[in-house]
Amino acid sequence: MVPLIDIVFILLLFFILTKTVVADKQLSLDTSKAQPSQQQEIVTVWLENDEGLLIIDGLFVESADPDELSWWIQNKGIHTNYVIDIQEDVSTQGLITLLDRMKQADASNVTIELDK
Amino acid sequence: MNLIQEHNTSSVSDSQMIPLINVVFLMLAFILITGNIEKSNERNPELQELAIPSSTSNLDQELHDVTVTLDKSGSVYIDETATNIDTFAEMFPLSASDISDAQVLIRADASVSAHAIREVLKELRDLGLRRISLATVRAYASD
Repeated sequence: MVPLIDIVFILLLFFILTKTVVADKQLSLDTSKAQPSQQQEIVTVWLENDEGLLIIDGLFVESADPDELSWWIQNKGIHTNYVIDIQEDVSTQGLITLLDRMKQADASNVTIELDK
Repeated sequence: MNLIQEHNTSSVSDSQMIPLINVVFLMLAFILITGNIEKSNERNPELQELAIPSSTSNLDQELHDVTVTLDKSGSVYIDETATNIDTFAEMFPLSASDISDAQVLIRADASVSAHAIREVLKELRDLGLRRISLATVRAYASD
């Protein structure tokens, strides 16, 4: 009986240490219209596909490359109003991934374009 | 003499049960700590098959007043009632006075078009809702 219980303990420990805890999280969304002050400009970020290809100022930006996105955000300003315009082929996961990447690149004002 | 023997057997049997009880307690603690209590969608089994998108967001899910669900096919549900984007505003269960403070959670399948999410967001914004969140599961940043 005792060796069996030892095995059960070891199994239990194994599951505790290796289990990925899937906890329900949320991402708060800002649906308000961007209203820039005189110092802040609006930069439209065109999200082209799920891989995170962006068009900013007419130039292609790979958001999957954190250095490239970070350079653009630093260049445009972390407090600039970034408005994401979503193209047809983009999925919800693609949009959320971009929101995550922009947050990691320190962009503080990111909204989603709704009026189209 | 027989009585003494029976007493000894019972005592040994009880002491052998203690490790088993310990295991059960441990498993109970494990389930309590790591388990999630989630509202069941028994009436709409399709809503249970959602692949919730992953995010690096650390915000724990808050209590919400209304859940809007978009399944794989793009069908829209308010709580568990099927609707569509044209009748969304009419079907929304909260009165105008309750809407300003209401928290809405959008549960969308990861593969659903972001345009569908945008349409829902537009409807919610037009209704006057400001506290809107998108349900996610925890993802870990690759870098």
